[in-house]
Amino acid sequence: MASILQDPGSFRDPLSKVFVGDGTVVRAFTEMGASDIDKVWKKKSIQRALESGDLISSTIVEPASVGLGAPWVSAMTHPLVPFISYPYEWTFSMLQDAAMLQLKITRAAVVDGVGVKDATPYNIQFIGSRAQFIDAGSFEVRKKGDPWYGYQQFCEMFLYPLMLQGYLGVGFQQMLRGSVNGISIDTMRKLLPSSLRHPRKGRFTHVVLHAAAQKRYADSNVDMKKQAAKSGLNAQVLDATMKKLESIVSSINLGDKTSTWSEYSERGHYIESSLDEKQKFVRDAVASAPRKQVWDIGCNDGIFSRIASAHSDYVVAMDADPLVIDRLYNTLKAEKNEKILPLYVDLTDSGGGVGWRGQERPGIFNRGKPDIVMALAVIHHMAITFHVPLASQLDMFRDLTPELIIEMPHADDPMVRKLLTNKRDGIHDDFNLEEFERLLNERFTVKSKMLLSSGTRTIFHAVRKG
Amino acid sequence: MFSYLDAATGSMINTAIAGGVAGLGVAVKMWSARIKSKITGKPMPDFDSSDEDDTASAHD
Repeated sequence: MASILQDPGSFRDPLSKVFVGDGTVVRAFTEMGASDIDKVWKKKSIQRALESGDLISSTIVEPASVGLGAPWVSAMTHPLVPFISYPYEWTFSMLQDAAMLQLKITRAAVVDGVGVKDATPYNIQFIGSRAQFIDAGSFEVRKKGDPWYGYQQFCEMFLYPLMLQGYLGVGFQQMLRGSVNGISIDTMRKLLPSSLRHPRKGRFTHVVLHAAAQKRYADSNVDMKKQAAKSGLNAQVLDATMKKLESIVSSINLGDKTSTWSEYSERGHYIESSLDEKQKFVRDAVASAPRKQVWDIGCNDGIFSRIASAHSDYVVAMDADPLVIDRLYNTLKAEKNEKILPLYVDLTDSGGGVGWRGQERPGIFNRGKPDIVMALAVIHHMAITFHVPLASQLDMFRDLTPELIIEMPHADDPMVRKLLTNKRDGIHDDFNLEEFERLLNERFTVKSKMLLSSGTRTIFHAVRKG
Repeated sequence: MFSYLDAATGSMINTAIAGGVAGLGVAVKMWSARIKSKITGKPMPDFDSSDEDDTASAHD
């Protein structure tokens, strides 16, 4: 087997590590880790999670067969997740479904004598719209009286972000992107006031009491774990706790139901034939070669992602509006769609690597290699609203993808004129078709282009030069 | 064998509280043992944990 490299995000668990390479993922175990996983792997809870697909498919192999030696004594291989995404790129419904999956797996395990070491959304990935638990190394033998080690982490990385969005209408993504450890108990205690008009289920127990208990026992040097066991903190109690958490998580609703783009699509500007011809252009361009991965930037309701999906293995559909993506996710989930991954990504502020050495969770540009990128009805927003020059946008596309389908609204396009309404005269004079084509031709070779019948937009299919 | 996350005392007590009726008695016992230990200055009695599990049989 070709060489495999340790994943930079896999270092916290001393008993197992993840290696990636040659189209596969390998999880390797130390002697201690192997002893643990061997004891629990045949348990019903794990086998059922494997059968249902809640837990990633896992094949036990000899470490030597995948090119690993000491200290690894055992290993398993997993299929590659088509595109790794992080909770700060998920929407409310996605994080909620991930939280429910974490609780489902942990509950089934704990009553089966299996402990789950942690409770982080980074252990869950979406295959299209289906959540899947990918950390097969999270399981261990549960000793009598063991607490739920992941409880605090569950609160900080699942429950509090959902409460922030559902109870206060504040998006959690920026906070999760700011800290790989989530929202601390103390921070959440300060952020979330009580409300008589809108009772906030779970606040008193999991925020107020949790914060008080943490503060009260912060200086404790007592082995509370032993006392917890002696006091009867057993599997039934933990199961009851998680059952109540399931009830809380499922009861939290997404607050704001409208956003800038949720009730509006630029397609409103098109006459019907423009949309039809644009769809045909996109279909022809994507279908002109086999595609493993397509990125649809500014996907809105996903109409072009669906077209691309019919002619490719996998589509990553991104939009800078979380509500738009939340709706798309729920639609795809209802269809059981596993070929389109909806993500909340604002390319003008997508963030670089975060966590340890800035490499634990790489930025979006370092997580995938699209064969073709679609940027439809998006570059004028980045250019005029966010002041990212066209040249810089095209540099980014050139670095990102060998092929590009891109829509350029002309200076007299109604949306361009709207975006320019309150801008200082002259600062976007270079936003015009002639300048765009000059810049595009410097970096790409145009294979085909079409003036849409609206008369104010041109769409290009271009191939990177060199 | 061992989890790598710390089980903070406050969080441990809270998991019991959050379990409702099933966990309240446990939380009170944990809390009172903690107080007793603080007042008397004596360490809390040892507990022999083992690989024997304490699982419920309801979920199979």
